[in-house]
Amino acid sequence: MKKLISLLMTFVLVVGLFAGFSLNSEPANAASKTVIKLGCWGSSPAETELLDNQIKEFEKLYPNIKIEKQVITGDYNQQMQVKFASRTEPDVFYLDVSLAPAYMAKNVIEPLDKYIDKNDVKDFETSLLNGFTRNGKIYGLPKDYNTLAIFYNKDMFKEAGITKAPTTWKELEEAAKKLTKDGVKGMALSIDAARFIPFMFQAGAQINNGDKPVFNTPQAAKGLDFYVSLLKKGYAATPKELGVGWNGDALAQKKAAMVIEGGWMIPFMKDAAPDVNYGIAKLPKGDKEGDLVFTVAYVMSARSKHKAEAAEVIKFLTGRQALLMTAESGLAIPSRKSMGGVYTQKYPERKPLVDMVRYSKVYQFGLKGAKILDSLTKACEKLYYKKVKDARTALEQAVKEIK
Amino acid sequence: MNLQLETKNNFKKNVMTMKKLKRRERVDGWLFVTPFVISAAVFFIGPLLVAFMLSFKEYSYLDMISMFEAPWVGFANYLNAFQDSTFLKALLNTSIYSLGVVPIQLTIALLLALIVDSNLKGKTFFRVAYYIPTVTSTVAVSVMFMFIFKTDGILNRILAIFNLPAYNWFGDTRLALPSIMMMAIWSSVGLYMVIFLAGLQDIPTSLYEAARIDGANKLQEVLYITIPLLKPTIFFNLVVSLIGTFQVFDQAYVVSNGTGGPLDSTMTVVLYLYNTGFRDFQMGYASAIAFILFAIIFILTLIQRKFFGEETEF
Repeated sequence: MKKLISLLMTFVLVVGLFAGFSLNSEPANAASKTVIKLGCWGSSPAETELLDNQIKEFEKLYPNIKIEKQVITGDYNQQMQVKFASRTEPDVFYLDVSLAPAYMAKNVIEPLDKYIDKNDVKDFETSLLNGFTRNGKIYGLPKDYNTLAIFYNKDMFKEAGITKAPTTWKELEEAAKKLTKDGVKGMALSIDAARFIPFMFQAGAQINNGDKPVFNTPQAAKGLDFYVSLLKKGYAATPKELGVGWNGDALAQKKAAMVIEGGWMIPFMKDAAPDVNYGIAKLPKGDKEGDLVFTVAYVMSARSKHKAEAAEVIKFLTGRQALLMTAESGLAIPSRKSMGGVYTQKYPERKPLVDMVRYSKVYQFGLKGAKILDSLTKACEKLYYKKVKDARTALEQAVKEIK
Repeated sequence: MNLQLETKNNFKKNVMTMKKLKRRERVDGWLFVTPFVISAAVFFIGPLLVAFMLSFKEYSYLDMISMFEAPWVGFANYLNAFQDSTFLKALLNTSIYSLGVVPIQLTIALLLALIVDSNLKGKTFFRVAYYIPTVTSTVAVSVMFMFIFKTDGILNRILAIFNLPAYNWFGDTRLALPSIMMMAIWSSVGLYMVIFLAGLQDIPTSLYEAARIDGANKLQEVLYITIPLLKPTIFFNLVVSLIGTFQVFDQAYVVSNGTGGPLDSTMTVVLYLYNTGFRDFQMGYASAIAFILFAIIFILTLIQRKFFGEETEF
């Protein structure tokens, strides 16, 4: 008898448990609403609030679509691959431009051409859109971008008697030389391809042609040589040598007068060093102008069950209304040409960041991008640690390394 | 007569229940281990077999086909690995790391265990103090060591007191690996100390008493009693420490920001495996690297067993 009772109890408990689950997972109005999962990475509270507000606006306009935000923690690219492998990827998600070639080539994201207005697309900065285009098809709409610029300490400039930010390589070197004194370096330069590639562009070099590395040229060597020479001559130091985590810290802790970073410096400096009076200037000109631009787009999973609705989400979040919110928040530079003006009007001192996008190339180097960046960084390290005789040799070896 | 019959019946009944019990026991036994068997099959044996299969295929998680449909490439992944200069560099780094860390770490751990095992005042405090790094997360430890090894960090300031030059520890190709070796030794020495301590407590005191009567000094006690009788523990620690060091990942990842730099000087096999699998989208190749690492660890463990593995009798 006892046994029977306990069995019954167990049964009731188990059934209750399942009943509980099914009750929880299905809200009453599930049938009338389409849920679109939106995958993104965690960012600062201000940026999270911006996205939440954009989502709220969207849900007001589209009452039949509900956006379920999924914040992906840890290594985003790794987590995303695991989600794809287990078929649990979100319908819409952030995609960094450097990862786009792989995701586009593997056809895991859906071309958006069917869903978007060709005329409206022209409003996006062309270089950004190119990063998400493959074989003439558009796979993602960029939401914002960041170019690299010189962030400099105005007080140090004044003290050294420099009246304007350097505009050429020569001026940059002279300024860095003058600013290097009393334990402060003229510049902080990290040995990172994502920071010295602009100098290669400025020397007229190309990094890749499709998926093929083509940076074993005299132009690329010239750019790399100039960058490393600033370090070797002692006008600049790496963040590690300065005892800081990254370039931003070097400017914030007044250990360097100039750093090359992107718009993410603005909220960082506000937090970390409100007392540092800094300015933003365009990267100097070499033989020509050149810069890198970092961008993130909204893309759609090719397996999404609600493609039409997912497309609406993407279009809204990269649309004028949402990007106006981005522009006004000042947290990132909106990806639309029509919004760039709004941004620079509100934040005139940040105009250089917007001006450079015209000649910038996106941070994307084909399917072997990760390998290319790795071996470029290594080439710079080799040159800096004097493991090779010159930049040309280092770059030749780097190209050979990428099979 | 009646009584006899009853006993006989009883006996028969008992035999029956015994048999039933035996069978029941076997079933129960299996029932008890089922959760483990199932979880081991799902989370350990299954993935292992799949990974082995993947090591002969070309596959990435972004392929829209299942891994069973991915194309076979035979031994290409394995052959590639031995021509891949970065992998060979990673293997060399890992070997140096292991050869450096294991003996130093175990020697220090044994010394600490001997000290903590003696009648020292406040030995409980020391036991806890040495064990704390083991329960601290490696990432936290790495971040802490980055502060110590910074160019204007504590270590360089101490060096400055003795008029020694400052080094860029994590930024120098020759110093980056030794730096993370120091970190590893510091952070896991406590774990091995505790295991040694358990081993020390297994050695009967009578042996020491006998030795003392024979006139042995402290050093002789350690050399001729403690170490020989501690052999199984030493073997265990060696194996665990060797496996752990060959799988080093987090320290290298944190210190180099995932790149294994500067100039691949902190590139370890597992870091390289992670980068090939997830960053270069070559899961098949990454699986092959994992199995090469497995083979290396397996062979090394067999060799160790040859030297340290025999049973010790008290």
